[in-house]
Amino acid sequence: MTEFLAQHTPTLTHWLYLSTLLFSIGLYGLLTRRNAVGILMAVELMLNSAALNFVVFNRFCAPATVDGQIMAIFVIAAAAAEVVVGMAIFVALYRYRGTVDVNAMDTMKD
Amino acid sequence: MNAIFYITAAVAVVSTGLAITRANAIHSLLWLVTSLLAVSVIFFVLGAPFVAALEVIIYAGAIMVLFVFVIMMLNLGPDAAEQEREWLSARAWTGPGILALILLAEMVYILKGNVSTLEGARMISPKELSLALYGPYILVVELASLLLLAGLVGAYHLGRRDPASAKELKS
Amino acid sequence: MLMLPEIIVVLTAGVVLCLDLFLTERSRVILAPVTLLGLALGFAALLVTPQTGDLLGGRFGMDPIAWWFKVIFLIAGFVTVILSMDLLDGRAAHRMRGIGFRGEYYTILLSTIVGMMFLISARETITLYVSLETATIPLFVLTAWRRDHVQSGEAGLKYVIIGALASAFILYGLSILYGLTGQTSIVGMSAKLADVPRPAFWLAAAMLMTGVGFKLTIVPFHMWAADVYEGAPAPVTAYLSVASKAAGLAFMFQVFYRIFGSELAGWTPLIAAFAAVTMSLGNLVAIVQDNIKRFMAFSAISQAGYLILGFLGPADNGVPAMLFYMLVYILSNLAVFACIVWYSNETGRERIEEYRGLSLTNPIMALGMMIALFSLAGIPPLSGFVGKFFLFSIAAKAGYNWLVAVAAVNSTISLFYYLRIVRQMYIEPIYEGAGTLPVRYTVAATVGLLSLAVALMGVIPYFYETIHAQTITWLASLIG
Repeated sequence: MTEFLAQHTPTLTHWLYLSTLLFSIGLYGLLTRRNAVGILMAVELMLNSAALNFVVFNRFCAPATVDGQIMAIFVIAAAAAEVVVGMAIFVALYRYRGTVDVNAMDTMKD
Repeated sequence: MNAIFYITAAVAVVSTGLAITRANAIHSLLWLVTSLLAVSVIFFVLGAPFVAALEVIIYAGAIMVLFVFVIMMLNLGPDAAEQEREWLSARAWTGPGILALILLAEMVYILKGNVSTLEGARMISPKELSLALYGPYILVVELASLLLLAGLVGAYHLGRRDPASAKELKS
Repeated sequence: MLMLPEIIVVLTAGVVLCLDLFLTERSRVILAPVTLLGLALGFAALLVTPQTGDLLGGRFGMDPIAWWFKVIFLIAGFVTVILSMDLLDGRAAHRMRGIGFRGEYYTILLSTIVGMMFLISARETITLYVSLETATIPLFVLTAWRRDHVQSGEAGLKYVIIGALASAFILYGLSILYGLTGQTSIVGMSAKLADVPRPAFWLAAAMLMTGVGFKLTIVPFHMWAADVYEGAPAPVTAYLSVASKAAGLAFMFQVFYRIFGSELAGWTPLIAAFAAVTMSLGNLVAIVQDNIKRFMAFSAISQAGYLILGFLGPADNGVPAMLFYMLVYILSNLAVFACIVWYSNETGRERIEEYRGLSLTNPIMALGMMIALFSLAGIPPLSGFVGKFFLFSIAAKAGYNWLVAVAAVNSTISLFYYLRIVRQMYIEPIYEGAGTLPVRYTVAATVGLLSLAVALMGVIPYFYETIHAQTITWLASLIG
């Protein structure tokens, strides 16, 4: 076990596997969840995996600079704004409709 | 040191997968917090301690607390107490708790033996990052502050209760 | 001084927000004029801003394309404020609860305008991403502005989810590009792109295309538009259909021309397919629509299909043609929406049949709306025809004759459904006892000026020639 670990230093590809996996899980959640809050959580996971990507690339492709980490910080900031706005809309809608199930959102179909 | 990567990655993937598949919103939130903590450990290992700290403070802290608030708010039905008991049952938090403990152990290990990061990685200090943020990237900082201000004003508007409509809802 | 227009608009947002604190509800009507003044000052500053140059070590750049986009954003913002005034201060505000709150509304509107202006001037991906979010996220709030209106909230919910999904895709695409090139600067990226591994590059390109497709309502990614446009308050729909679309085009310009550059040549079949599907589907679905806002959503989708024809040709033809068409499109669309907003505010009617007899009660508004609709349909000599002509000729020159045929058929179909509204206004009998509806002079002036501009821009070649000459000189340095 320790030998195996010593020989398998994680390379760029390993990190990318991880972030892609997280992105895909997020996408899966986005498509399967029906509650708007759950969907927003899935989107957060996708944004988070993109932030992970930036930090990973910063470390492996441009170690002398800090651009990737800066981007990760702004991704977190933008995600915060998105969540705040999204939650406010959900709460306002919930007060009126009593649900935030996206399948129930059909008052505008012809 | 390599073990850290594999353990953390496994924690991240498992907790993310469970966060997405749990039917109960509070349960999936607990898993989501664990997933974010795992990503934060990964940031630390990759030489981004400042981003790791922000991930914990803003993501796992502020944003997730917001999620919890909203979920609790949206579930104020007659069976709220029943739900409360179910949410706080040991079964709900043991799994995420164990994974979070693993992450904690990793962090302690990293901090004790002065293995700062993966081999070859350069630890980018908060100072270096701040100099870049408030130097070349000052414009983006201002833009982000405008974005947050607009989000704040918008959330304030949407969240405020009209006296008129509140009355109507009650009747 | 390069950033002066943006700074003025940001300051206006701050002034409006602070003024709102100190004013009584009755005197808050002055907030709209203040906003208009700020936007006008921003426009004046833009006129004296040099058209080339950069700031902050090349992170903020100005060139003729960015200049024209800022003109488009400021015009769109200005007209939207006038239309919002009609909604927030007029009779409609008393009828609808949850409307009003002018200070917050204008602050948020101004911050999206600022985001869009920075979007086209961004010269590295971090600024690009944050300004894209600044342009988009506040729009979610504006869409859901009427808190006690189910459809408004529902539209907001859909828009938040789709918008967040689109930005996640864009962000992931950008992160791959960053990984491939190790740069965030757009110039640095495009210089290194020639020798990066292809599959990863295509993945990044596909992700960016998907994200931009959502913003521009290209067809497989268009499904949100109808519901969001229908549910949002009418002035916000107007803003979404013009400014948000222009921002999507601006982002597409940034990605396609500045980052991908020469790679674009291999993509034309894909873009042609997207264009054909987008214009056909938008048109066919528009025929059966009943609600005029929903109808305009599908009309806007089909217009996006015509618009991306410009990407088929070389940049020195495509860029001026697309910019000109965008300008024409926003003027025509805003004129139509000015009538829609006004009519909906005065009567609460939003169905197409309910426009009957408008030419008898308010002939001038009906005339303005007709001119704008004909321009959208592309009837000569209006400017919509000229704009479409340039775009179609680019597709023809690139060898896509079938696509030109499809586009021509689509234009004919669109004429049919735009005429449906004109028929209601001019031929169908008037509502019994309907009298002349009052029109605010600001709205009347807006409709008049916009329809006049739509008509004149088709006849006077000055505008297109200016756009062409200015962008050509700049593009020569980029491509050559």
